[in-house]
Amino acid sequence: MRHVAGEPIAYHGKSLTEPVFFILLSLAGKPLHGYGLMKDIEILSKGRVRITTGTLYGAIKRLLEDGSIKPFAQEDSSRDKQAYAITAAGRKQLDAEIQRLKSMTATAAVLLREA
Amino acid sequence: MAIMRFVLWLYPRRFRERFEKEMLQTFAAGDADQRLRGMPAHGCFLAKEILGAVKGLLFELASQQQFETNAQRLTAVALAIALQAVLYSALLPIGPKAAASTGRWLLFIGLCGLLLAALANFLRAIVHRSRLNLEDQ
Repeated sequence: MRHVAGEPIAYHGKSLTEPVFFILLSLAGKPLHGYGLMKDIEILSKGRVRITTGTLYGAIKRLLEDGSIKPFAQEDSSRDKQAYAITAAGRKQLDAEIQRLKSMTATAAVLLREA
Repeated sequence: MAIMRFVLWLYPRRFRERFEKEMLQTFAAGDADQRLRGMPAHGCFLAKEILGAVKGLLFELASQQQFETNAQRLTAVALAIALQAVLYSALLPIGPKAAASTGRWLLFIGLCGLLLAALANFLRAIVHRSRLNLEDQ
């Protein structure tokens, strides 16, 4: 693997899948429930990423298990929908992924300039 | 909704208890929204949702490696046979012989996967039991 001198590799952790990245990004703005998340992700990705209910809840289950998100108690208890909020660990994971993506694009930009 | 309920019924019990209601609510909200966009968009949405739910189901089952009731086991076998039939029909344009051969290979790979999963489960149960025995002592 080629390493570009002078470009620090900021992040060495595991990369996030696209649905997980968008779920965390969406929840970084405000707590949302399932359908709100699906709509928000579609808007954030400009219609490119449309996740299904099955994919969404599989990802939510894993994010809850590793403590990246948590159930969010809504003030209006008459609304029967469970909302989720990002945790500090989730925000850290999201920041790390953004750093990883920045590092990748910086490397690509340097390589393409050299070519 | 009935198909979605049926697919959700196949999910592991713990997952179902936690997310079934929410998933059905989310699906219903999407369904109502897409219905307003006309039949093609609605049909597309339904197909994607059901495929997504089946994909999620396979992922959950693979991560848990277990079915809880005989009805679920039988349905999984029926689903596997149906998928095999769909695959065979999809491969028919490249020739019946090639389709049958590819189908057999995929079946073989699937069976090997199931055997490996069963073996992994068996070994895990042995390790779990020996740990419990050690704790008792």
